[in-house]
Formats: sequence, structure tokens, C-alpha cells
Amino acid sequence: MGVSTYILVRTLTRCSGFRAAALSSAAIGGLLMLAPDRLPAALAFLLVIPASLASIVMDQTHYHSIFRALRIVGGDPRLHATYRLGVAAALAAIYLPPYALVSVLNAAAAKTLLLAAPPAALLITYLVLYAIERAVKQGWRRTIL
Amino acid sequence: MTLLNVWKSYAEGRNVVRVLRGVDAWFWRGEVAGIHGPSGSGKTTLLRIIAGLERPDRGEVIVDGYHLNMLDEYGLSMIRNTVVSYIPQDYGLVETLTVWENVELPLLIAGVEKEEREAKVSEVLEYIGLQHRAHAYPSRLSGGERQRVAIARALVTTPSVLLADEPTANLDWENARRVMELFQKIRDDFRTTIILVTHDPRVLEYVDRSMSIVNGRLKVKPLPKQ
Repeated sequence: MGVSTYILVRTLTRCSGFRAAALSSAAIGGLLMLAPDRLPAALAFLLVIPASLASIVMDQTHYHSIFRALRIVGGDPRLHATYRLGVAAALAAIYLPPYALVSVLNAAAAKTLLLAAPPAALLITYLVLYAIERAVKQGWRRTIL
Repeated sequence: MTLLNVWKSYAEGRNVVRVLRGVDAWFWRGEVAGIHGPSGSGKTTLLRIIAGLERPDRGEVIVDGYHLNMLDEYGLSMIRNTVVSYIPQDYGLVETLTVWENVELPLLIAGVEKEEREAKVSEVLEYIGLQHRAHAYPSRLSGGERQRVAIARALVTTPSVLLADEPTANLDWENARRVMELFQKIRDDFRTTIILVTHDPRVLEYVDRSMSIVNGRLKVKPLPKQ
């Protein structure tokens, strides 16, 4: 097992941010499965964005502490890249299935809400959230320092 | 280990702050050297340059025969994994890994086989006196224990050089004294070169040679007569 996978598996299972993200995502998926109409989809849309942002912010804290520790003990840039890729894949695995489920079960909502957008749109949403989070963190850092 | 005419500066807005101004220094195998100086004097920068975490603007850093200036990021990573161990002030532990897993991390990166990893981690935890805390998370440990875990992680690859940034800054004097005695024991048992930076003059009583940084220049006191 690679070092990235080793750390990632342990971090994912022990990180409250990822656990919260997985649980909220599963709950939203379940809600939409039970009543696939516009209201729960809209609710999910309202809930999932702040939930995603919060979890990504929390995950970033882990990101940085892990990258720093890896660098100190001799992790090379390739290891860092693999770890980052692994985290992105894990986030996609957490977030994408409920959305895919929604798009299958609820064609009407799929047409009207971003929730049921194709994976590419979701990836863009994730990247936008990531950019916002980075900007927010930079702002905090400047404020603190 | 040798530093020759090392310069380092940072840009702060439009200003350029010269942190190190032509530092020359030599460190001998198996000595504990203490670098003393006020906040912002460049102590940590100097340590990070020796660890290969930062590159100097000018000058040469030679560690265990390796010219760090000539190495790329992969080469410097290899140096940090096998030759130089660095302990940051906040210990740099991964909070989601247990004590055992944190100490195991450098060996995993080095590609050491499982049996050998287990033997080495067990040995170093016993040496450091933390075997009973092997499965605890860092958040459950006291400051002194966290420091010792960081030392164990630094020691597990048996490096030639161990660098510690303000190793006693977050500890009460009793724990600080124990950490300094541990460094002396490591020096005696492994002939490791230990370089620590500190602003606490009491710590310097435990080092073989002390130096001070003033205005980016290192003042080296001569070795005591044997």
C-alpha cells in the first residue's frame, strides 16, 4: 500500500470533516430518494453548499498539517500530489453518488436545479468552493498575522 | 557540517529584510550546539536552511558530504528522510495518526519493510519512554510527551543531524530539563550532531557549544578545551 493511501485511509476514517461530509451527503441522498420532488431537492441545494464549504475548510486544516508533516519527514512533491489527488477522489466519491441518484430518480428536478447537474458542473462547483475557501483562509491569515 | 557565506532575505511589501548576512559555521559530529538569539534574528531560518526546507539566496550548505545547493526537491526530500531530521517548534505531528503511526511515517516514506518498521518503531518508543502511549493520538498527550514523540519520529531513521527549533519553548522547566538531558543521551548513544535554537539561556547550560545570532550574523564561541 502506498504511503498516500495509508495516510488517506487513516485520515478519512478519523477526520470529523470527512465523516460529517459523508453523513450529510448520505442523508441528503436518502431524503431525495424518499421524496423525489422539488422541495427536498431545493432544501438539499440550500443545505449542501454551506455543508460542503464547512467540510472543505475543515479538510484543508488537515491537508496543511499533513503536507507539512510529510515534508518535514522527507515526503517528496510526488507524494504530496498523490495525496491531494486521493483527497479529491475521496471527496468526489462522497459527494457525487447522491447527486447521480437524484438525476436518475428525479428528472424534473434535474432539469431545474444545479443539484442534478452532470459531474462536470459539480466539479466546477467544487473548484469554485475551493477557490472561495482559499481566499477566505488567505484573508484570515492576513488578519491574524 | 559546514555553512559557507550563507545569505537569505525576504521581501516584505516593498522592503527587503536581510535575515542572514554571510553566515559561516562548522558543526562537529556528536556535538550539541545551541544557537541563541532574540526573536526575528534568523535562528529558525538558519535551521530550515540546514534542513533543506528553505534555500539560501547565496552561499553553500554541506551536510554529511551532500551539497544541498546542488540538490533538487527530490534530493532534499531524501536528505530530510535519511540524513537530517527537523523538529519544528509546534512538533509537526499529524493529529489523525497515533503516536506509533506518526513515528512510523519516515520509515514508510523510506520504503522500509513492515517487520523492520515495527521493530524500529518499538525500539525508539522504548528508548524515548513512550511505549505505553503508542496508540494514543497527539491531542491526548501532554506538551512534554508530544515533544518526545517528535524526537522519536526524528530519531527513527537514525539521522546524522538532528535539528530542533525552540525545543523547550512550550514546556515547563522540569520537562524542558528532561528534553535537554534526552538530547545529551542521544548524542552519547548515537553520536548524532544536534543543533537547537533557543531564546532560553538556561538551555545553553546543556549544550557543548553555544552561538548567537545578532543582526543576521552568527557569532561562534570556540570549543572548550578538552
